[in-house]
Amino acid sequence: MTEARVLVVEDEFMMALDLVSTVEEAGYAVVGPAGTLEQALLLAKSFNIDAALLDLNLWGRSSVPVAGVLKGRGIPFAFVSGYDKDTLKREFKDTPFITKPYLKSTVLRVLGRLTGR
Amino acid sequence: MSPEHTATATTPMPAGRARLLIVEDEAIVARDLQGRLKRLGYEVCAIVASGAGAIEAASQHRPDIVLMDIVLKGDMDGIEAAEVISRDYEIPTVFLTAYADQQTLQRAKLAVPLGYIVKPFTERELGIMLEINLYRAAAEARLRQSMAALRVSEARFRTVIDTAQEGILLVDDEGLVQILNPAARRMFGWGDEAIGEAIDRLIASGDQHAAGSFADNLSKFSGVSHEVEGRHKEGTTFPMDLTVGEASQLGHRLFVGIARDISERKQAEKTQRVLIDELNHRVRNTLATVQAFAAQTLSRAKDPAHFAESFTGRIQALASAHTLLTHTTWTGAELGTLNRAQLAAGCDVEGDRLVCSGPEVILDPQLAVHLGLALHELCINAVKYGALSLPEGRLTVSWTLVKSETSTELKLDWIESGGPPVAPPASRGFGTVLVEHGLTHIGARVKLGFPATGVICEIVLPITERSRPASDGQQDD
Repeated sequence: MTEARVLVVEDEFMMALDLVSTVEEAGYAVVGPAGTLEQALLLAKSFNIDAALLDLNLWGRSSVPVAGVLKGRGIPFAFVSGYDKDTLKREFKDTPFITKPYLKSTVLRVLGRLTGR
Repeated sequence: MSPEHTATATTPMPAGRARLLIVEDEAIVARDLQGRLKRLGYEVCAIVASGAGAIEAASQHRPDIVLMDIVLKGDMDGIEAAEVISRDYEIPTVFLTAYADQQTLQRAKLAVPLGYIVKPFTERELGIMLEINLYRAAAEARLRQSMAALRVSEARFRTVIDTAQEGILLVDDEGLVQILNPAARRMFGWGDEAIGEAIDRLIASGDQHAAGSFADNLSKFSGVSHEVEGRHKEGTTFPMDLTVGEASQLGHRLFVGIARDISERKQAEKTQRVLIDELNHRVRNTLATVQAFAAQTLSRAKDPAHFAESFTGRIQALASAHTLLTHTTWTGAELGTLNRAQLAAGCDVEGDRLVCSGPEVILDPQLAVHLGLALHELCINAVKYGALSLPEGRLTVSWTLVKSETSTELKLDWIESGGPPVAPPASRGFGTVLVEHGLTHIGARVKLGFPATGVICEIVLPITERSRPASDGQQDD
């Protein structure tokens, strides 16, 4: 069984680094991390990805366009954000939502569900 | 002094002391009349023979009553004179006339409907007539006084209603508007045409599911204030605070509504909610950053003491960047200030050992935080192993703005010199990783060099619309 590839989108470097360690230590391969909307869109459109963790706010810009690309490709993903879940549009109300600060175990449980492990 | 005393002092005196004015152009008749009146106990203050004379004497003597012959010599007859005296001095007239024709009497009654005596008359008839009319005049004077008092009172309450800054509405028990004060007129955009309109046209109850109209539901609004929707005549709506008082007048229920436009307050509340949400987000994000710092620093720490030192230093660098941003309410941080703050916290070096120079540049919040952390790591490294580990070592941090046709970039050079000889590290330490990857993550290009003379680091950052040279001004914030 090959490693599942997880796109990590997070604008704060330290958090991105931590998320990458968490994901890699659990045996996934990381795509990214992307720190800007442009990087994230590029990776989401053209890379081979099995699941994604999306920070909702990238430098004051919403990452919802990235979510749209992933949804179009049928790639499961979860949002990671310091905002409340109710700030999300109805379109994504069933998308898993990880609130910052988070527990590693929460991230891994959500990733497990997304990748079917 | 009791009210009765006041009334007596200002109303006509009782018979015996009442003062009369006689208007009669027949001198003999006038003198006869004067004699009779004196016998009856009245005082005659003057006798005149013309209408004009009567008006002048009334003005001068202010009699309690005027005894007036209708037919007078001159341009003005008695009826005209009586009209003027009644109008200007509020003194009643009793007509004395030999003419009992209906037309004249009718005119006299219309002019001054007080009384008349047809000549000839007895002394007793005259006495009774005067008593009746003096009594009536006194009653009318009292009525005029209370009317005047009522007008003063009405004006006082009117002033309260008109100058109140709250909208005041009086609504009858059918839900129709009876009074709308000026503040309410401004609030709702209605004028006099609102009188008689259904209150529903001005105020929506806010509860669309309630049975019946707002008027039907008015009574349940009594007492405490409610937030309802006001309807402007132009069709717009606004939030308002409404307090309804219920009263009863002549067996009918009345509702007094006090309305306050709370648009501004609602807007302020909305702004506050946005700010609190934003604060909540920022706090959570910061906690998550601290959590990531802790986890990453811990995984690379040699021992607890090493962890504590590195972790605390990084948290201080983060806090220092946040403090700068708080000063500008998170609109941005000035690069020079950020530099000096990080250097002051990381290395206790002063004077010409430390050179910091470059144009004023405002960095957007996230850029400021990331660059602040990178500067912190460079600083810690310089103090521990680099130029700043020796007393003669020097550090120069300089930056310029490089403009091309399509973009503006910030180029920052960190140059150490005078320290111990430098050799490239065998493996990248975590601090180095933070400098290189942390800035690359946010779109910068980083070149870290290890010549023997001292560590150098070149950082090139794209200047976005959210970061900008300070000379562009801050008015677009």
